[in-house]
Amino acid sequence: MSGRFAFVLRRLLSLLPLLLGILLLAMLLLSLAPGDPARQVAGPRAPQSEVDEVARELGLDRPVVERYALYVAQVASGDLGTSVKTGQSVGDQVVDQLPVTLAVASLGVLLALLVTVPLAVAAARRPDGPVDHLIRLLAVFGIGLPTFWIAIMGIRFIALPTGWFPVAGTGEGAGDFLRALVLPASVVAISILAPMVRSLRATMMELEEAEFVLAARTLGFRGGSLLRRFQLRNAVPPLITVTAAQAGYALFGTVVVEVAFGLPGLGQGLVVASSTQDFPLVQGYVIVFAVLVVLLYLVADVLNAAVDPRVRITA
Amino acid sequence: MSTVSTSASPLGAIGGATETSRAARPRSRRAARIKLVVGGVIVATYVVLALLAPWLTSHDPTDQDILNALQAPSATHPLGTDEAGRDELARLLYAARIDLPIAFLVTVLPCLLGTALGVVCGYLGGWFDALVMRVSDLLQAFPTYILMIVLVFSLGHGVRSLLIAFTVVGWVVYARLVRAEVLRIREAGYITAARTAGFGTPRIIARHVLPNTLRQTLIYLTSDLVFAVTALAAFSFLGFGIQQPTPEWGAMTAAAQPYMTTNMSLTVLPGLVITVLALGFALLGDGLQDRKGNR
Amino acid sequence: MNALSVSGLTLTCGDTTLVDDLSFELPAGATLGIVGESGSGKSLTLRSVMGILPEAVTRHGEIRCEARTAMVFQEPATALNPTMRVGDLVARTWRRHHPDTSAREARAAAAELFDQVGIDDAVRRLRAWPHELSGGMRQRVMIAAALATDPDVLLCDEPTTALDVRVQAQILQLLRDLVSERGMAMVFVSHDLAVVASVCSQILVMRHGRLVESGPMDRVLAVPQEQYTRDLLAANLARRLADREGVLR
Repeated sequence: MSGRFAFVLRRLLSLLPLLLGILLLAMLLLSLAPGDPARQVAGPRAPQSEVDEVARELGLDRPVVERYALYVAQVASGDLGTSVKTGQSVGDQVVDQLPVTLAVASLGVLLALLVTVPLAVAAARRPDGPVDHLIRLLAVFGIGLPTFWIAIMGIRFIALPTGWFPVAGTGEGAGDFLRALVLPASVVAISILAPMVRSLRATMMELEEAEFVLAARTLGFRGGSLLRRFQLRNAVPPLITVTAAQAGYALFGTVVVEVAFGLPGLGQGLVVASSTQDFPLVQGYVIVFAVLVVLLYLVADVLNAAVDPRVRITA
Repeated sequence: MSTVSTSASPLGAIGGATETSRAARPRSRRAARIKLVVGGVIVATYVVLALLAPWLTSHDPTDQDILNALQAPSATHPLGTDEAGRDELARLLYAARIDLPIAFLVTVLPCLLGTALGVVCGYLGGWFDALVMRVSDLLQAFPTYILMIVLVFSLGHGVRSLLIAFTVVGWVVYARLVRAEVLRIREAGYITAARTAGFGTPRIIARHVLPNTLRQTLIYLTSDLVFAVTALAAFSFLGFGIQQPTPEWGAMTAAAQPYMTTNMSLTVLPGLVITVLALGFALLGDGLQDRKGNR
Repeated sequence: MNALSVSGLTLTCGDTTLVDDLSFELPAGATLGIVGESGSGKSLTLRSVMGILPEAVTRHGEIRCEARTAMVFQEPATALNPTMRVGDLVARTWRRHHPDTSAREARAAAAELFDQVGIDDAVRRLRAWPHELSGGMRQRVMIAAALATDPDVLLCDEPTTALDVRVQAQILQLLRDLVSERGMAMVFVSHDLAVVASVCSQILVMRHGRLVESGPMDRVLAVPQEQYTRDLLAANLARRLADREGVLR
């Protein structure tokens, strides 16, 4: 067990430079922003001396690299800063919104997986058959469907006529919350589905001609057993890889979906912060998204190691 | 000792998934042709409609007429009017003159930049190559959309920011493709051979490198176009891209969302228009991909 | 009675003919070696008997097989499922062919088979993953899995080519022993005439998908009728002299 723990720890450490790199890049980019954040805080009519004062308070008068170091230290101590518009702690705001985003994204990924596996297996089972053609067509369609539009169509043609799902917001209580997630998560699932189906289908078809699958056939393995234990089992690592990539995409999908459904998640928060030029808040969101993505990579890494008997020994 | 290889690109949405060798069958060859033709017709139709927009409607897409807002379709307004009384058909048509060129631009620019960088890196090598490759590693690890949102935030909303954001994110695949090909051709000794024959480097690259990468570049381009069309609209939907009153499909959808119960077509139509266009590009890309499998 | 009879077997891929009108018979309990250079169609012949031809290959002609067949592959590294413990493979194969055995009995049978194919410490090795085993051990696992199907005919596709010389000799000895103990028939495909000569009593020489010459091993080796067979013999002799190791008994 301790071996596995050490493995996770090592992977986590190896991702730390990536996290720092992302933060540095984000800082550098954000420092390009037009308009003086200090001026924003102080207000348009404040005298220059007051603006300078605010700039000093925010540390904006220091060089970018120094600001970066200070900021990383600040973040490491658990302080994400304060919103210049609301005066609220960025950390508090993020903690409030994180569950919504995580729920929508992870439920979306889960739904996508639940659809991907049977679809891809059916398509690979009879290549060029009707199911295969239908799925390939759907895959091409799926890539071109704008996420925000599916969301709106979902509201207009499912939520409104049936009244089963809230049209906006998360309502009250766990039941409402879950019901409010159904449509957004489905939209996220649709938006990430196509590449997953395509990839798994391709892997399954490749595996059909793998030597060990042919060998299994000569040994009398057929049907479900052959499919599960020989093909699907070995299609898991590439499926994890593509799912992780698509889960990253799902995080962006939630931005659009949260805005369309009026869900109080990170995505909507980011859009609001961005349109109100709330500099520290945007920075906070970037960090949270970066951490989420890095954690996603970690989960994918660990899962890949867990399902591959060859890694378990060497790690 | 890995016996399982994946053929699928993890960047399905951007890179275009690779198909297996099974695509190389006669039926798929016919399917590839059908895809190319249908995709081509769709894209060509959009281009023609965009070009002919001023002749297809007599309305100005930005002319407001608040008194006639949210009108049902009529003889004067075939698709009705939007929340500011602007002619919906005119807006849909004129939006093609915004969305199409920008989509092309945000796709072609990264392609050109990436190709140029790939040639230079492959040819020069050394510290420049190392630097560019490290930057591309970092960019690939960076979550694409977050990077784009940060860029658009810091550069201000609008077309220029989108262009920069798409370019910063998009050049990497092209650079890697072309760089690998330059290296391969250098290894193969073409360059020395051609140089002794008295040909200059630009000519060697034009003759040997670019034709070899053209097919894959086209496949990347078409799948990037799919991405560009939908992402562009998504950014405008979120309010980061093209702003009202300029006609743009994503922004139009966002503006019409409050009226979706009463004026359904205002939200349905722009999205449908985007979907069909993206489908056209997706079919082109898929057809090219299938064809490649045949060789 | 013939365990296997192939008549007029023709395999094509597009416009290329891979195997051209091949016919042969394998009496029950006989051992037949098929020899030819790579690309001569010998492996594809075995694969068409097992029904695992690549999708792109079209088959004509008749294969009649009353007996149960099993196959040993050239590359045990790729023929074993990397995500299945080797004992699981053999036990599951056993249960497929002995439907009324329990999981426990199948496991015992697998251990027994491991023992038979010369895997020491069989019970512990049941839990091994393919990547933990050496090439020779993996091939023994493949043979054990093939034996779990109770075959009357064992088809061997260059089963020793991927192994080093010492292990090669052990596997050949194992196959010889198994054939004589179980009275199985065997088809043994190889590019190496000497290897085939050491395990088979009949020989069939192939080239470019066609049959060149066939007959009892002793006769063909002593009095080859065709120039190609003579060339093969000479080439083999030269190679044997070059590497002095000598796989022959």
